[in-house]
Amino acid sequence: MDNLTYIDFICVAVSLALMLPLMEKKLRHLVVFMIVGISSCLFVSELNNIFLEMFHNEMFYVTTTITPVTEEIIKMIPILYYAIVISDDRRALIPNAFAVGVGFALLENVVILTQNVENVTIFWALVRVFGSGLVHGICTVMVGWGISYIKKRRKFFYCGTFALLSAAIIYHATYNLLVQSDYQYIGVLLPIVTYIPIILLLRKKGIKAN
Amino acid sequence: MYMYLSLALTLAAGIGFVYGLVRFFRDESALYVRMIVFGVGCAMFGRLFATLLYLVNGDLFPGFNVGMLGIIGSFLFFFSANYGQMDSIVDDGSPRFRKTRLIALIAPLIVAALCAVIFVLYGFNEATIPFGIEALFLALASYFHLKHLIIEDVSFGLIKSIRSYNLLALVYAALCLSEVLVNGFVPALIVTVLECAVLIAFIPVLERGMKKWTT
Repeated sequence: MDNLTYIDFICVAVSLALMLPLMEKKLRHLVVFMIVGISSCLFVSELNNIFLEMFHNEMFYVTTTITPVTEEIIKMIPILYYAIVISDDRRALIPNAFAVGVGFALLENVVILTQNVENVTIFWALVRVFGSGLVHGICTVMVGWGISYIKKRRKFFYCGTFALLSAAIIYHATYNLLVQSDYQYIGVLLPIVTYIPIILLLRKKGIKAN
Repeated sequence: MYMYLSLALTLAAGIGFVYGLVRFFRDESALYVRMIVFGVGCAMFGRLFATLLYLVNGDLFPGFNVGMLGIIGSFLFFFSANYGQMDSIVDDGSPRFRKTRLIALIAPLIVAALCAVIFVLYGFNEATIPFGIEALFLALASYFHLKHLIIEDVSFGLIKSIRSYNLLALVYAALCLSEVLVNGFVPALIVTVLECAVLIAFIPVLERGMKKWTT
């Protein structure tokens, strides 16, 4: 059998790509960013395999120290590109950033599902969606939202971007650490507890233009 | 035991961060102070990760762990706030401030000297190299903290009113460095207590100074 990750990628990303010509501009941007997120996941999966081999398959160490760094850097690149080249308007940047995170989580979940198809349950699906799905989305939103503030100020930009990246990596690593421990329920609650206030705040105040 | 010290730091940074969120994120506040609040938040997340790693793994990983990014991130936020926002207001680049700029170099030079001592004593290894990287960001931030502490105020009391904050930030930088240098539980406890005090005091001290901007 061919590599399952690539099969999953083709099934998900190509289907979404086929929809693109029928969509209006705003919606098309969102779906494009989802596909970018899915592609990032594919790239990162190869990268993480290399690191896993390099660290002698020490899964706990790699998933709490290495993969948060690689994943957040790769996910940040399209957001950074969009902010620098296309637009740093917060109203576009935040939903697009979230789409990158969701796209990333989508392929990650599908790959894990197909690799463990005999062991998965509805509960597993809920944990994956509300846990890792939200973590990826929240991390990219954190970076996108921050970039929208610092983009126009060159003196802020480089250090601010690195600082935002650091915050996203720590958040991601904390989640990965908790879900692999005896405290995995706290790990699953962490993104939900973070997501709800963000959504309430954005719904209440709306996303203001820069 | 070290887990409890890490937990204390998490709680102290958490108190500072939540206080900052409540005070400066309800209305439109200066980006300068928001970045400092984020810096304290970043420190909190880093310390939280270290605490959880102690809890789950029993000890920190030798060398680099993601929690160190919390310290790096927090000093980057402080550096960005000072370099990006405040410095251009208080220093117009004229020769008048040349002496101040030179004196401020003492802070990063002390950090560099400490790094050199660590590298000479322990060599380059997986424990000292991450410390060296951390120290680099600490040095960057400490330059501006010292500069803004000693610079002549020509901006209608803007920088003078937040000198206490810059002093606290310098103390915090020194304490973060000393974390690596201290040996034994009691010195670590003393450093932690001082760090907790600074982390809690950061935002209220800054707020008190900022109030003078509008009065």
